[in-house]
Amino acid sequence: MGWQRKVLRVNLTNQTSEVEPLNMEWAQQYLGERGLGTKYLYENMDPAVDALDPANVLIFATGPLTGTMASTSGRYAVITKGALTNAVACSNSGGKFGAELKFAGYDMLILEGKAPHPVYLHIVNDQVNIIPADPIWGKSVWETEDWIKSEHQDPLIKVASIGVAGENCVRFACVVNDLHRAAGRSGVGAVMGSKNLKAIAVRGTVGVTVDNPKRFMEVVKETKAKLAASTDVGELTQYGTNAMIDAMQEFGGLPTRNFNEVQFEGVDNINPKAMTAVRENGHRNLLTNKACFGCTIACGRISHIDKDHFTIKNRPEYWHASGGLEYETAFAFGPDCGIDDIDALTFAGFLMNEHGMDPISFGGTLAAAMELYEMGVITDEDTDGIPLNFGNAEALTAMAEKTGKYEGFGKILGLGSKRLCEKYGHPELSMTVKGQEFAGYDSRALQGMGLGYATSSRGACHMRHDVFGPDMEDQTGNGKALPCKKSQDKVSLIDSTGLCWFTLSGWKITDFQQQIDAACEGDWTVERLYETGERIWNLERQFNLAAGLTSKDDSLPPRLLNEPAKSGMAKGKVNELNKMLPEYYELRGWTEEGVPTNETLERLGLS
Amino acid sequence: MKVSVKLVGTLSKYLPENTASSEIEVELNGNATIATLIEHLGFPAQQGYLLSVNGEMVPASERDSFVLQGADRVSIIPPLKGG
Repeated sequence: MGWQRKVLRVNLTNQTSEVEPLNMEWAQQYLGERGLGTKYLYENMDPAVDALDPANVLIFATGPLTGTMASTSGRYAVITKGALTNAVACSNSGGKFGAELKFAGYDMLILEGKAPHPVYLHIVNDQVNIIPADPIWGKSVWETEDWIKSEHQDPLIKVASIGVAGENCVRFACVVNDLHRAAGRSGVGAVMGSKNLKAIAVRGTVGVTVDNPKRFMEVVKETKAKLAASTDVGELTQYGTNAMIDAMQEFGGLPTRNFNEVQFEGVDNINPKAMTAVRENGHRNLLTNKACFGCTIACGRISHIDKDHFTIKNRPEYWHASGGLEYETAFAFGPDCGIDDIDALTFAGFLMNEHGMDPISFGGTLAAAMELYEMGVITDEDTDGIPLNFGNAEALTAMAEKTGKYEGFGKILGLGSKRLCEKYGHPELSMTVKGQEFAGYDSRALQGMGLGYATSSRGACHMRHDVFGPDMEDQTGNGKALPCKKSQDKVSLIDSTGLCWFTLSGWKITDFQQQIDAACEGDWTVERLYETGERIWNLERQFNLAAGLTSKDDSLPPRLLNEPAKSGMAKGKVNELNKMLPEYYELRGWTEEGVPTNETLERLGLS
Repeated sequence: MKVSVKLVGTLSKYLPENTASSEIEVELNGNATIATLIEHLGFPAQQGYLLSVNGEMVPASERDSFVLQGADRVSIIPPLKGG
């Protein structure tokens, strides 16, 4: 058990749905969520089709521990071919939606085809309805969730939806659930929009069972106690992920002004201390923290904006509390765009949730546009008369709104930085891998992070590996390939459980192993978990190769390879990818062209 | 001798009470090592951290023998994590 053993398959073209048994052979090989979802994706579509083609498949997948008593058990993943990257996409989210989908009795929801007109899906256990979405097409995520709860007279319904950005296939549109949690990366919301699917609303009362309840509860009690006793977990609770901004600033790995610099002079105005500072008028940005379903960490931030700030002065609809600054949002809108106005950053973050956009990719795209503007390549004529200089907070919030509503220059920003920089003749200024924008870690200071970015199956991403330890100790590429590979396998596995990998602040892999082994049928050893993770990583590679990607896509922008860091602990250094990549391929059992060998595929059961 | 010590971000909770800045001056005996400084600050043994002297990283393995000089600038940075 752990699994519900049921898959809900919906054909949007024909407006039909059917329930099929979960393939338990695959579940034993790929576990759930990211791994199992990718297996179903690979077996159900041609990876070569365009991401926005109706033949692309969109999967919402839970893990065997989703919805259980385990800590952080609210995770689910959206798996598809990414609209931003044209590579395999797996974007996971917290909140409560994933657990509710499991409670409705399903491990996975598979969406095929394209609806002939806008629709939303309403699921109450085994009752599945495909309903016209005309009243909410053109509405924001927040309006959509309110409308669905009102329409169905059910305040407990859980909603995952897209905004206008997703409807118009903005390349980095995301799927937002529970108002401010998001499957954020790679443009999974654009794929949903391309299918004319506005929302999925779900209510479940079936419950979840595990294989060995007594042992499972014993292990859950022990693992929750470990989280509670962890200093690192306590800091996540107290400060949120934005605690990282001070460390990255001091380290010299905080990408600034489109990665031209690695330290930002305005960091004290946007760090956790600034979030909790009480101003002269009594305003304090941070109100409280917030947990996802079943989470005992609660790293989420809830903030509000000073009512006198230019962003909301005459807009009472934004005077409420909502999702506050996470590290990546703070980095992407702050240092990367050269802006230190915390209220403007917070407001732009609200807009990302309201309209359904990935803040990392939006910020990275705006930063590239700002550099092009300062070079004179983009002018006021392009930008609807708004000066796009680095540091312009008004430009940040105006462009966030334009992109979210798909208006004016926002349509161009909605292409993402790769397509935008190509359009203006400067592809080298796009800070991306496989078309996806970087997170807030400069890979000249964090060498292993650079290798992880370059080889990440879904494009640049900081959540596909964990090389922070080795990167802290040594600012060269030496010895980074092995920890990069091993952590990629580990994270692939954790992303397939239904739990959050922020638990790694207090857990080791054995803590996951004990919970999986108690919840799921079969003998789940640590060795088997690592092998499962490696199988998932190689399956994603197979998908990308079939999609037409090659080793040339395992690269970094020339700026990171050729322009040395100007300050900080890695001053004078560039990323040593060319040294690390061959070693990495060899450790993976791949050819020099980055293709898994037959021996590797056979060993992992992928041949 | 005096060295300046910056406790970055979340580590600022280990500063002496009522310290306004994240940077303090610490008086040490000559030939003091980084280990001496850490003991002087009362840093918990289990607390992981990065450490630099005058902008250069000092690996954990070298901290016991690394001798500080007067006017050195020491930065102690919390461990990096995803987020």
